[in-house]
Amino acid sequence: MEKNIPLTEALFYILLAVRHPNHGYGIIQEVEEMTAGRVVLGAGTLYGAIQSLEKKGWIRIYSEDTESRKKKEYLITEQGKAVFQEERKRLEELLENAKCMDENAN
Amino acid sequence: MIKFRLYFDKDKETEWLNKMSEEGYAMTGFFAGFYWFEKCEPGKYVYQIDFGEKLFAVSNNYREFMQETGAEIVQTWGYWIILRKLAADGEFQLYTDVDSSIEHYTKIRTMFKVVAIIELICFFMELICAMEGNTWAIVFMFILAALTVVLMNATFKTNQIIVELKERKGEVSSCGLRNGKVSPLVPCGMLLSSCVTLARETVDHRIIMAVQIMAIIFMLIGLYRSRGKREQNL
Repeated sequence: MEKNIPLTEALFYILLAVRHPNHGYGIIQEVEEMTAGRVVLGAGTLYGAIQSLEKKGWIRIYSEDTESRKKKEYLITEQGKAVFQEERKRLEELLENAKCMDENAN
Repeated sequence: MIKFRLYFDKDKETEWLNKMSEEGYAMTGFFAGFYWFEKCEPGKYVYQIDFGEKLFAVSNNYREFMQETGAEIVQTWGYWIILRKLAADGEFQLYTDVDSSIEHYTKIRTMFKVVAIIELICFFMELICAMEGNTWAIVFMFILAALTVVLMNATFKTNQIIVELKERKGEVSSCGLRNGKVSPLVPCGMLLSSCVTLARETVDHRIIMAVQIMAIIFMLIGLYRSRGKREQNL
């Protein structure tokens, strides 16, 4: 798992948005809401990311072609969760160390 | 309405399609440089061009995904996919971060590179036939030479976009091939030479001479300007 992190911002938020079953457009909307409109994923960016996340086994198809609607839903896997936690630890360390800046200012 | 354009730059092509849409013409089809337009309310659609995985087709997965996000596939051509979305449905961008843009342009660069190499190989094959005195081979030789130059330019240009994206990411580029662009006059001269060879038997020889000289001047000025540009960039 050496080169998995740091995650790009897009991958980070996509993993977060598929913590529950979610479909393509749903991911875009959820990420947009979470970041108050700062991160709006382009369709090409999201499509490419989903393909690569699926290949890496970090997300999987949750449901496909149910009779009522045809939207493909994705869900994070255990492996994906592990990578996400690893990234979270890294980000926490960043924020912890960022506090040094305040000490210096005082 | 039908318009003919040759684009080797997808960003300029996108810009043009969106300008046409703003003027009230929605692009509905494409075939070998011909674009079909239908009248629409000005600015009804926003166009984007993607680069796919398959030739002249997209996977069902891709089609469904794009439909779900509100985008419609207007046309596939080679690896290119022309998409549009209703402007009322909000902004339409395909690649919204640096990493995915780099990936996108890298695929495009690889395609341009491969096609340029194929054209170059074909050029040398025609060159051999041309040396044996085959007129058609001379015609094709000039056309292929022109195409090779155009595709090399497209490769350089795409490379430049990738270098700039990588610089934005903070990666130091180790790229020596900075902005080596050959002037479009060079391929124009080559195409003229091709016409001259083709018309040699049928057209008055004074006209042929004049056009041939013009072609040579085109190529010389083109080469001179290409050299000048490169020196500026050093």
